[in-house]
Amino acid sequence: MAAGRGAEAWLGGILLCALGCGVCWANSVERKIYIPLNRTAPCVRLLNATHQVGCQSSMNGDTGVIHVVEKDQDLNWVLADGPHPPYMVLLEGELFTRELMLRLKGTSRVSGLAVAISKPSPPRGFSPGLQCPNDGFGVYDSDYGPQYAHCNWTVWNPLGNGLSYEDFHFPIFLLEDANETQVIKQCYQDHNLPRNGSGPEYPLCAMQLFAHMHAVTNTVTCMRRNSIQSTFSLSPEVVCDPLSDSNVWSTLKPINASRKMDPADEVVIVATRIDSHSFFWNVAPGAESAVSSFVAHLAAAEALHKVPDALTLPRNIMFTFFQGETFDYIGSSRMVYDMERNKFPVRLENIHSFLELSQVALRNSSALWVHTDPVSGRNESVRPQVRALVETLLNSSLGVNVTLQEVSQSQPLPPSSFQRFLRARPIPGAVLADHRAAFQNRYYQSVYDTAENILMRYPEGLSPEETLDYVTDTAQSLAEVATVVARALYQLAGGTGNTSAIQADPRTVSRMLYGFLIKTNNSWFQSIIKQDLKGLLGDEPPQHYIAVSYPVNTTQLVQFVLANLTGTVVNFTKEECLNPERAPGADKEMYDYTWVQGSREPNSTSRVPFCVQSTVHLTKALSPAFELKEWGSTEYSTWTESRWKDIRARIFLVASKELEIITLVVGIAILVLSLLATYFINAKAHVLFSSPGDVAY
Amino acid sequence: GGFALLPFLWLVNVLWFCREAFLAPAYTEQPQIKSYVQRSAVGLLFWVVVLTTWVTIFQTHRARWGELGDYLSFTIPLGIP
Repeated sequence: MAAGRGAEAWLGGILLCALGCGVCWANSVERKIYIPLNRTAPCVRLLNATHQVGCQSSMNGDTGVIHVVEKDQDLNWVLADGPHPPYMVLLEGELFTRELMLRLKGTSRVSGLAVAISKPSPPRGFSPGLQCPNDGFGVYDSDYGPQYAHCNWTVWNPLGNGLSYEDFHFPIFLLEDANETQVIKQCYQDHNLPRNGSGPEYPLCAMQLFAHMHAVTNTVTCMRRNSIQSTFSLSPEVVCDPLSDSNVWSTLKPINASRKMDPADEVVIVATRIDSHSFFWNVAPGAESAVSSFVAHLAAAEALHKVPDALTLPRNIMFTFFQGETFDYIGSSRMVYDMERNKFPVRLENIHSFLELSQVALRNSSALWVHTDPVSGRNESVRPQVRALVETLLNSSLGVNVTLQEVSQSQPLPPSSFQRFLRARPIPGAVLADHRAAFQNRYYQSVYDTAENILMRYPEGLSPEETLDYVTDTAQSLAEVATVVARALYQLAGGTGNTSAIQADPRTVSRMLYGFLIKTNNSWFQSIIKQDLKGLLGDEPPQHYIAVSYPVNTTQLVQFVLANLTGTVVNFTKEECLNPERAPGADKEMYDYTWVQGSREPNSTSRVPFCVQSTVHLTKALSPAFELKEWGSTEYSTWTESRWKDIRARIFLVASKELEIITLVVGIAILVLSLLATYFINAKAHVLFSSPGDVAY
Repeated sequence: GGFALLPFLWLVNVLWFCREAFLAPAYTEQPQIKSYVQRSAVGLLFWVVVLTTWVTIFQTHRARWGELGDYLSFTIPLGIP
């Protein structure tokens, strides 16, 4: 008996161990079946007042047999010939064109698409943006310059195929890692290719893409559903979020940010955008469309702060960095709205002139073009000021390798934040760009608008520190643009001194270009950020998408760089810096105080932190349409991004439908058989299990 | 039972008392039970017709009704109109 109990205990113990290990073993079965694809970027659904754009998958992902399309003829297998629809197409980046996508959109034999990024970039250019960016939200409409509305005069982005603004009913993913693309192609070649003349046979290599989007139809519908859910439901389910973040602004002479400016004070505004977009979510390198302009802007701000009589200039200069300009001018429309309603320290009446830097890195033979608005140029009160502004600009390029030229005065403004200010009030202003008519940028708002697009080339064999400080030709060219801008601003602000001493520093420009285009985790950025924000810096190239949770990395980095370049180091302790009201001589209303972690001491791992006093502020960049709850507005941007639960991709082998059905039927048959067997054994138990010594009854 | 809005109670009525009302040998209370079962059956049929019609109309037309459809829904499906 004791031995029996001991055996039972042993059995129990072994069972418990098996159960415990079973949990880990179950995982390894999954790993044997599925190969996850980790370096991918999905295409998500964005909505505006009237449409939904982007891609959608089924709730439990879309599965399809993989087919690699490397040339146009391969597509016929997917569309007509292949015997195992639906197919999951693996497309080479070169073939990702509008014609092919419209063909895929029209068929039901495609359950998804994976695009392999093409290296090098497609030589003919690729732009999924619109040919007329931000049409209908600028200043030109049927009342104001109707001949310029809807790009009737100049098509700004002729290579634009509008793919980012199409609606697809299947998921589309970008494969960023060439190794993963090779794994998929290997699986395809092992299993999916036809052999010996006959078609491919099961098991076949398949891919599953999960990217189920919650929002539908348009912003009006999804915001209405949000409000119904949050008012009436017990567990509210929000389906979409408005695109929003913050604008960064700073002034040359400090102003009291909580009070309004005196009406007699005048301000010169210089503006750039800091965001971009591509077809895929959170992939927006934006080198030429955004980074080039705001880096030149930051360098000009640094140069102006070094001028000795900066604080005694008659007019102030406001450096503004707008976020969300890619999506119908979110940042600038919000700032104009705040200015009109006196919620911003500067009012529209205080604006003396406006200078904007558009795309400036791809200058053809050192030419920089000055664009002005033809309609306000005919206004008698504004015209002389515009002429004076252009004259000042043309005079600022003497001695610098920049040839400033004015475009024809009957040509409209390119898409720019200045157009939103003109909608409110005729302000004299100009937009500087490297293109005369159509964009020089052949990869506008695409995944290929990277450092290579603006010709940033480093020699081989440099360490990261050396690469950070190496001055490329691009950096030199942007520094020259910044010098011209700084000199022009000095004169526009009423400065009368000699401008030849105002120079932008090419070394600062190259450090910023490295930080914003190649790697944010470099020693300079590490030294200028706050200590608790170390997660801001990564080793991959940064992406400049506005997103829905703020503030995004780009906004914070621009804020810290601007504070570092234009602020002064003050001798406060950490306690005083974080609580400026206790510090002697600190003016909390005029300045912003930041405790940054500083650079590393030589031969040591500790850093020397310090306090920076600057005039940098953040202001909310949420479209006024959401403040006013006018979700169908045609005046303000209404872009929202859908929410989702799970986005991932994986590949595995699938069996034929017949094999699956056979397995199911055999399983059910075994179940029925075992039930019958149990019933019969139970019914005849007294016959089957009687022992000879028992009394028969 | 109930005033006019208990179709499930009437369904239970019909199914439970069917044998008593129609198939059991006759006794004094049976005609009364029979009439109640018949009236429950009529009410049940009426409600089945009304509810089936409403459910069909709602399921097919909710997406087209836009705002009205959203306000009438208890749970709005995600990702489809």
